[in-house]
Amino acid sequence: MTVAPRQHGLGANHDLDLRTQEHYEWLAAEADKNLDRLEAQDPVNDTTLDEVLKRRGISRRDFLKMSAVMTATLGLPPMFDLRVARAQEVATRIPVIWQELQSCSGNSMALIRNANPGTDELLLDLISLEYAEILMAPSGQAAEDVLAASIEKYDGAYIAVFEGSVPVGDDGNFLTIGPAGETGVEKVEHIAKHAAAVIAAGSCSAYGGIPAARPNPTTAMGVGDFLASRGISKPVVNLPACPVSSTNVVGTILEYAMFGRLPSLDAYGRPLWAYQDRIHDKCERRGHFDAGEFVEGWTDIEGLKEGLCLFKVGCKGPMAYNNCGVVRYNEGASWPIMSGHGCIGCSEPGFWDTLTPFEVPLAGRLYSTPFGTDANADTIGTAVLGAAAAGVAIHAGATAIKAATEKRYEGQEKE
Amino acid sequence: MTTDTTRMRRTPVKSAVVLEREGRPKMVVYVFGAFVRASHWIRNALLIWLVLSGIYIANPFLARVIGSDTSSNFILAQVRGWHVAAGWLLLAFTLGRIYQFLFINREGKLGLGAELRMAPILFDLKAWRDQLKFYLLMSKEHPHLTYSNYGPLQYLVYTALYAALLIISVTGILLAAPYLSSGIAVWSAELLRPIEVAVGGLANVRMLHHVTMWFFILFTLVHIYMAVWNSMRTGNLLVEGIISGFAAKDMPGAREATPEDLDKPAAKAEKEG
Ligand code: SF4
Repeated sequence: MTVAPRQHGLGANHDLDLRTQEHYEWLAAEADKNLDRLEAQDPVNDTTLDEVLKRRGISRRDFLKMSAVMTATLGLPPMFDLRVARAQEVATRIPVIWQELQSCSGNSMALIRNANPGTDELLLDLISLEYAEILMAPSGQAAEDVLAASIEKYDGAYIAVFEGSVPVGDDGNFLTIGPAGETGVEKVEHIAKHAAAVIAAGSCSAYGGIPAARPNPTTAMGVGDFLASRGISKPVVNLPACPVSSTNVVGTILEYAMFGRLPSLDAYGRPLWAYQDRIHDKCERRGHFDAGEFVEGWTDIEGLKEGLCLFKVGCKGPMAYNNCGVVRYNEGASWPIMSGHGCIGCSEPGFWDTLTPFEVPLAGRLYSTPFGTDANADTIGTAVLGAAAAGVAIHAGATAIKAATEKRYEGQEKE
Repeated sequence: MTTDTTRMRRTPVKSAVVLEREGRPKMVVYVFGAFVRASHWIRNALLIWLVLSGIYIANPFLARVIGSDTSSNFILAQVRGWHVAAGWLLLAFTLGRIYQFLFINREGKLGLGAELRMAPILFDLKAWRDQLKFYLLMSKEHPHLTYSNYGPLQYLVYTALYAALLIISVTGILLAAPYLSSGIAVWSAELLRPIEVAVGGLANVRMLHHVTMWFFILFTLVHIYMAVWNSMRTGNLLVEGIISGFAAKDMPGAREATPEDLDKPAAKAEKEG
């Protein structure tokens, strides 16, 4: 699988651990420079932070607390607290275009389903969301006009967020959008070409997702892969998960506001601050995993009650990189493992094929066999071993018979 | 059959006991040095442990059966730790052996590997025919090879064995690294990351690791059978050889062996040598 171009070379993970005070000071200076630059620009959104805070009834103090939480989530030290706050203030200068593709809109839903406003909700008010089918009032031709106007006005300056995969099969005709029936392929090409940076929100947009599951009838691709295949080189950051947590979207936009560039990425184009560790490494059930204490099956009420590790009922946490255990979903209320179902690894490239079936450990992955039934590696291995043992037995028997006849033949010769 | 542990340097002949096996005069020679024998059995033990502990890691069946206390008994972490440790040791042996294969020449010095130079056996049609005939019981004569210690089939299988060892080590490192915060596994995993990306993520790495394990299980079955079969069919004492170091080689025209010759090749060796 090809992935979006990497921003960091080998050892990116390691670098992150070795950041020193000087490094952070340098980073802070960078942020200040960039924030000054943004502040000098005219806001493109006609609201201000103060207005938004007042409207939502958030005190300045609470706002700073929320910023501090966001700073920690981004993996930055407290010296960035105020800078993150400032980044939100100047976020009114950042135009964003949010384009739906072959998607279920779940990522948009996750983003707006915050009842109590947190940083996520605030930022949504602050950034200039120029075009987002799910949220905007206009529809049909009117919506198209808005899009065309925004692209023209903010050419080369806006962030393009894509949700959903790009179906390239049948000339892209599996997905047509708008009154003119433009295909997804055309939309992505057009919007991405004029963008400053591209965010692929959700697993479909990052890696193809469920629509790309075998046999991938629409030839769905992730946005990064698609752009690479069309030779359009834009910085792309993948924010996979199904849906991506609002924190990760907002954090990425904030990083962009603060540093004027997209965050450092891992080998799969995901920001390190969110996807550096596995689900498994930040899981509250991990102690039980290392102790070998597992929920043995869905009828193991005792184990489920005790909150034992879900590995044996198919948790793919050991294979999946994301920060769900820390930021959680629904205003930080819960996340899958907390609610008692194993992680399905929804932020991994290819999870729809490589991490299934979801409710048995990975060793139970099924392969199709020439006998018409699917079997896992161990069943196939045992069958092959059995065949080999049978072969050995036959060969040994044949050798014994042959040796006996040889003896008899030699005996006859001697006589 | 020659096993992969055959010493490539010309081993000084410590003994030359002549005996008769299966009606043919043979010469008992010292073919497997102490290190080769030790490494054969150490690797054997490592593989057994790695397979058993690996099966446990893939499906931790001991869970809660032995009654555990989370705060003091980290059974899975322990098993994984020793699994990884054994893996590193196996990798060390593997790399050493590959080095020998590539770079130790016939004189035991640095150069183009003696075994590497035997590679043409893979394309030697006559050798293939002879060997298959021998194994398919169509001929009683063990093919006599002049330039290679290995028959073409062995050469292929042992090359595959080392490829499998490398695959299982690389995937093992990639799987072990996320459990650690620093050290050799972490930085080597960083170097190997492009491989992880190329195979399509950690999940596929995990399955490659698992499937390769089955290669070793299959290999072990066939390896033991072939060694015993060869030993019996040609009387070359190979199975005894990997324990004692002495195996028999064809020696046309030698004297008839006496039963004592068979008894204690080692003791005999000392007497004669
Ligand atoms: S529940 Fe899943 S992520 Fe948590 S410790 Fe168990 S295997 Fe790891």
